[in-house]
Order: sequence, then structure tokens, then C-alpha cells
Amino acid sequence: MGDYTNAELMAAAIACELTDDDFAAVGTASHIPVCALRLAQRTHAPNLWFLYGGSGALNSKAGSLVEMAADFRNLSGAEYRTPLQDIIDFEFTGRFTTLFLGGVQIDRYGNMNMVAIGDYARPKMRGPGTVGLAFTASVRKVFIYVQHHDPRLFVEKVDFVSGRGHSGPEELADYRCAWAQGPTWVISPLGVMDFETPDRRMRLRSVHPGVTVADVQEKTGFELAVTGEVPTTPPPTAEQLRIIREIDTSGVLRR
Amino acid sequence: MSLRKSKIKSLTEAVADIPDGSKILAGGVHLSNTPMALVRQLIRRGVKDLEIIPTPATGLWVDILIAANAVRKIYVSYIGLEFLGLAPNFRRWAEAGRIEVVDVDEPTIFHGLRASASGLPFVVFPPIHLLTDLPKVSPQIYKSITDPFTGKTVVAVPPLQPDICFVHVAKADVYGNGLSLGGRHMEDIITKASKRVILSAEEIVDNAEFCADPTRTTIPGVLVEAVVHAPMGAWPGACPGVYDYDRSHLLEYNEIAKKNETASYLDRYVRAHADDASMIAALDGEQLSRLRMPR
Repeated sequence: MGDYTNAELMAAAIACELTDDDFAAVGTASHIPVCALRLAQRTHAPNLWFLYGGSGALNSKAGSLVEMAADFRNLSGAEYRTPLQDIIDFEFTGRFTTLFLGGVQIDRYGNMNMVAIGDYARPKMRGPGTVGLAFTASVRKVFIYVQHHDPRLFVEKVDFVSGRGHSGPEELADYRCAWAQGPTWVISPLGVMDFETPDRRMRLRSVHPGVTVADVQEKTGFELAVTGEVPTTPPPTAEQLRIIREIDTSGVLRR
Repeated sequence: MSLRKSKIKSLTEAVADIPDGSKILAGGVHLSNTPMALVRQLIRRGVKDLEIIPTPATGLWVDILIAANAVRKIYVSYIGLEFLGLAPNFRRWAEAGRIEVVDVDEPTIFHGLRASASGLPFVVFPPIHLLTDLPKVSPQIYKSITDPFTGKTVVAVPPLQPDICFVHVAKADVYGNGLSLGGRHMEDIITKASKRVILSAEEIVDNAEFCADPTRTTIPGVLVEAVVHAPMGAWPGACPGVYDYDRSHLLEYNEIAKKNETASYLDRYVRAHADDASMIAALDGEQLSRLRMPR
């Protein structure tokens, strides 16, 4: 790999998908998305807003990327301290355009599980809980972000639906808010996926430099849709890298 | 003329009459402003069969209470240790079926508490939860009903009412007014939602400090039953504006808990001391002073 890390590449790749009219929100373990949001603000999306998790900070300008989203130091340079009431209101009413979510299992339609692997009553693995994943049906778009990529995470079918992807009986569609587009992108350390297929199955959108389509397929527990030649995720430009490192002063994305 | 009454109590007095089986909520978000001193004192008392109604994103205090065999039932939105990952004792006990878990989520806990705070019989959501498996596993919480105005399907969730809530703040006065330097999260809701509110504070300040700038008061004393002076009362979590979280201690806790040896942790850090002040005094003072933020 060149003179950047995979985490820096992922930050640049996420930033590319963000737009100037976005109002995004992140939760725990969000160094990479937060770096991406701040990078977007400083490049093509100066009007983007973002909520930094439990800290409540809107448009945090913290001096470094910290390990805890709820760290109150994320309020440094922020424009508002959002109480939970506002956060939940923004989630229900679709004011958030992009919510960064993840899961302990994710399936081919973007269903996300944060509750339990195996039998619900006696799970093999008890997850932390659904938190805000039900809002997949009420925010405008969901960006699924994960820090690893293996067949235990990307499974054929989730054991519990915390956040609904693009599957299920037709009548369920009525329960989704009119503006909600559901999971739109997935980013992992191996590539970027989307759901731009006729039946909304997960499609490999790009592979990160040095990764092949076969590599990603091998680490995925279901068949990924592939349309034509899969491009390589563009590496960060020199300018992007300079800004990323101005945001990430403590170098957490370089570890 | 009679005098205005002080609500100050010792840590021991404040939790002395909390019965087994109580519904308990401790405030804070993740590792910030969690009232750990009050929670530790409950463990010293040996309280049992608690029903935990947590805030929507928390973990450490619940994980410790579970390891102390103090929990019978828990509502879950997010129980974890934030950047450290899963809460080891919660995970272990839930996987073994040793605690009753009611899976809910962030809006259900928030609005359940808000319903209790506002005296609402229930709260109604757009039907987004019907797209999840939550109604399947928690049918007692999620009830599909018909919107009387539109005829559409909506989801009702019940009020959640803690018997006791603990809240930790940077500053309080003797009348129960509280100031959180990290701003308001949902303390206003949980204090209204709960039958009894016990406040712990890093510092007890003069009432005049609140009166000088009432717009900064985060908890009005009228809702508070007792005030406890508990320096380092959120340790090993953070008290925003006062001290940082104790990263090395949290790593130690996580390792001990993952090895299923939390009992030894509780013996050393909780039960070996009659109260929290003596436990804090026994900690490495230099390490603690490194956590403090510049005033």
C-alpha cells in the first residue's frame, strides 16, 4: 500500500459519498466516519452538518479523533450540544439524511443484527442491543460501516433484525417512512458495497487497492452481485491526505 | 420562620432504604457522568433482584451490578463498554439465561421514560419497529394499534417508571439543584420519570452559585430527594469538565470481567471498603490527578 493506511483510504472513500446537503450522525467506534465527515466539510461539502454520537456535539471541531464518541471533549468547537430528545426527533422525522450504523451480523439485503447470534433465548453471542437501528426505516439513508470483513459478519440471513434492509414481505414497505431509502452503502476494510441491483441485493461497488473481487467474495458469507468490471476504490489524494492528518492529529487512523 | 431544609445525606444513608427488587436507573451516557459511587454503595449493601431501566446507551454500571448478582431483569437498548466493546458480564449472563432480558431500543426507553415523566398513558410511534424483530421478542412492549385520526397502523409503547434514579453531576447545592458541565443529555426526563431521585455531586456549592446563573442549572432541586457529596463519584468513568475516564483502570476491568473474575474486582474495589471515600483514598492519587481537567 502507498503512503496511506487502509483507515485513511476508508475515510476518503466515505467522504466521496457524502453531499453538501447531508446532516449525518455517528455512534460508537466512529473515528473513520467522523474523519470522513470533517474531510467532506473541508472539501466538497462545506454545508454538511454532523452529530458526534453521545457527546451531542453538532459540527465538532475537536483537536483530535478520540476513541469515545460520547467524550465530552468532542464538544470542542461545536455549534450545539444536542440533548437526546433532539437526536431522537431528528431520527424519527428524517432530518438526519445519513446515519452510520453497523451490526454483529449483516446480510445480503442490508438487514442488520445487533442483538443476538444463534437462538434468541440462549444466544451463542449476545450483542449490545438494537440502540437506534430501527431508525433505518425513518432516516433518509443508512451508511453501513464495519471495521472487519468475514463470513461470520456478512451472513446469508441475520438471526435477528434490528435494522431492516431491502427484504421482507411487501406489506412491510408501508411501515417505512416515505422518505427512507434504507441501507445505501456498506464500507469495510476490503471494499465498498451498495444495493444498486434490481432486487436490492448487495453489490460490490469497488475493491480497495490490493484487494481482488475473489478476496472479498471469499470473506463474504453470501454471493455478492457484481456488474461488469469492479473498479478500485480511489486512494486518497495528496490534498485529502493532508486534511485527514490535520483532523487526525493523534494518528489513530495511522495505527 | 422555619429554615429551608438541606437534602445532604451520606452515601450510606442515601442508599440505605432502597429495597431489593427496586426498578433502578442510573443516569449518564456511556462512560460519562455515570453515578458509580451510588452504584458501588448498592453493591456494598448487597441489594438483590434489581430491575434495571438503563439510559439508552450505557454499560459499565450495569455490568458491575450483574457481576454482583444484584440484577434480576434488564431492559436493553445498548449495554456495552463503548470503545472497549461488549460488556462481558452482561454478555455472559444473558447468554446463560441468568437474567431476564427485555430487548427494546433507544426511542423506546427515551419515550417510555418521557411518558412516565409527563404522565402519559403510553406513547405512539410510527410503525418502524414492525420492520424489526423487537415486537416478536418483546410483545409486552410493542402493541400495534390503529391511529384514530388516520386509520393507519401505529405502535404503542408503555411508560417506564424507575422507583429510584441516580444522577451524577459536577456541582450541586444542598437543595438538590444540579449542574452538569457536559450539558443536558436526558437528566431532565429521567428525574421527572422516577419516583425518587438521588443526586451525587463532585462538589457541593453555595445555592447563590445557581441563583447567579439559573439558565445553566441542569436539574432543578425540586425533583431531588437527596444530595450526596461524592468526589470521583463517576470514576472510573468521566465527569465531564472535571476529570477524564480512567482508561487504564477500564482496560483492567474489561480484562478481569472477560476472564469471569469480576468477583475479585468487586472484593478489591468495592467490598473491601466501607464506602467510596475510603476506596478512592486507597487509589493511586497521582494517577487520579492526571485525570483531572484544568479548571
